[in-house]
Amino acid sequence: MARLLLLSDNIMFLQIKKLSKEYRKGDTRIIALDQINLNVEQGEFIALTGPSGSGKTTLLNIIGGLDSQDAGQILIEGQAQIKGSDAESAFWRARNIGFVFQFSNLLPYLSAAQNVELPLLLTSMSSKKRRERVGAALELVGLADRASHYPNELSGGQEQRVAIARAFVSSPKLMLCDEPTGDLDRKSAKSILNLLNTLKTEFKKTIIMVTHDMIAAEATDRRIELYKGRLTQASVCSEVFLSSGKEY
Amino acid sequence: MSLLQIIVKNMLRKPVRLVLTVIPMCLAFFVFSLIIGIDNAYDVEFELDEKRRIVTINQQSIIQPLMQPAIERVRKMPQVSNATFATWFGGYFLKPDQTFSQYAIEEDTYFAVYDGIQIPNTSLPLWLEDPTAVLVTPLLAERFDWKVGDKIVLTTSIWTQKNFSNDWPFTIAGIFYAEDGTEEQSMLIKHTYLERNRLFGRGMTSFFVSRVRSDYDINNTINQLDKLFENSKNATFTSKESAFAESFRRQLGDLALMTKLVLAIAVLVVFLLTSSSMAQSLVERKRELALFSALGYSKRKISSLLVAENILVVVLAMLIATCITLVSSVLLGQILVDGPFSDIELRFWDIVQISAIAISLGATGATLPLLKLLQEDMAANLKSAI
Repeated sequence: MARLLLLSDNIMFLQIKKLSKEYRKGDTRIIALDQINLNVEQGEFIALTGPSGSGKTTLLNIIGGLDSQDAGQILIEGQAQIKGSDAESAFWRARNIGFVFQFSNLLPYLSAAQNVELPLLLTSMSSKKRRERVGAALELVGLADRASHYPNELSGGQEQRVAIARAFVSSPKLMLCDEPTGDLDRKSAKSILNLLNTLKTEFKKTIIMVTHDMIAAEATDRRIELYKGRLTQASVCSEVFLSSGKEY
Repeated sequence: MSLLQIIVKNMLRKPVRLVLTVIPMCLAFFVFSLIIGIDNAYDVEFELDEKRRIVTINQQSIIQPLMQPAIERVRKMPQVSNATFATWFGGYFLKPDQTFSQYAIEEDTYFAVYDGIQIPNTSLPLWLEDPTAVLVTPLLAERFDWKVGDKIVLTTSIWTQKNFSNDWPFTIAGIFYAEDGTEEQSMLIKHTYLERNRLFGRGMTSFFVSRVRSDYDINNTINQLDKLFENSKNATFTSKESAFAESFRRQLGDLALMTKLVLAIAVLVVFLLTSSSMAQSLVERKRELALFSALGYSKRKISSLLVAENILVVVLAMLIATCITLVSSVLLGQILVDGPFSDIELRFWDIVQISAIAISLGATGATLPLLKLLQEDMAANLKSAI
């Protein structure tokens, strides 16, 4: 199977080289990722699709430093991803990665603003500065007026917007979204995709989004498909989605 | 918002569980601090050791008497500055449950050994003149509303008079103040009165109290004193007054062992409670903890938050229990006039000590569940069902 090296190394924001990962269940060896090569440009919005068990989430977790590869290398802006102690890896993640999940994973006992503030508590930022950043992030996702609301007072779409604000608030270099629209109705899902596109276009954020949904994938610049741990195809699609005005 | 707020909010998020966890912890800490408080009531070691006094009893037991003349051999010891003897009277006033300490003392020598005892001048004339005279502490006089000159009768099952009566008449000669200022209920009887009138046991006494000169070692003197009577019919056992007083006052049972046992159980209860509560909490919060990891919180940082939360719960229980103990000690002190529960005393250092134990229990109780957490695959937990 052809391994895809999509764009030239020297201008790439994210470079993944010969990334492999396997699991063992008893005596059975399961290959989750098989020598993946992938380059992503700064400000690119990529959809990672594929059937269940194809390795999408594994790839996302390895890129985000939540999991480790058996072989291969990941470079962000030419710098190798830190794979040291848990503390070093966490520090690297806090600085570089913003995660969004299928379920918003908002902490129920914190307000929207407090949830968004969580990543900033790891920084030396003053509380005033933190409040400003949180306010700006909630403003961006259109929920400035819901800052003091608790998750159970928000709709599913609003919760996911808060989760995006939380991922974005610390200005990560890379945003990793694992099926962010998977738990939403179509209208909410489209607004989330539009929001992610806003982050891409206005803030030049690089976004990788795992999705099962082909329509959601069309909202991105490029779709990468994983099948049995290998990249199989790619397509450019965001113009179609954005220009078609197709109702999601 | 601060990390402390997150810890507090987390702690308070399930109020019913928090209350159900804190109540048994409170009970355990209450028992813990109560036992320490009671133990303190028996702790007289420091004050008594300063007096350099040693107490000699019969080697067999305190019930077995010593021969009075033997004290002369003690007095001749160069290490001993002065010595006296006293006999346990063991009586009650009117009703068998109205007991208190009564010692028949060798009146000529006792106050030289117990030089801290204070007797008002107004009490002395009657004390010196009347053979039936007794001195009582203010608390005892107050208890039975005794006035100077009152005639009272104590009944004792130990000593029978020559007329075969167990009722002994006495005259309240005055008040004496215990040398350590403690609020005791005790009575001093003249030994000569007991000696002259008792049917049997003459020439015998319960114990000697000797004072060791400051330039001699107390432990060495104790050995020397017991050697004097070694292999004699009335071999002796001598100890520091502090140790004697403590063992004498712990007659309710082996309080030291009981204390240790109760403390160990209380500590174990708190440890198990905090540990199981933390384990349950971690199972429920797997995904949340994984989220913290995804946001850039290291496992160590996450563990610190959880340990701090656990410590907070235990310390909360400890503070409530300590307050209850302090209030109880005041109330019991007012209600009860005698016995171990009337003198409960929780000192500042005890509270510091209990706080340190609470913090340690909070931290160690979280350890086992956290060790499991550290081995968890955080990425997998992000998609867990809970």
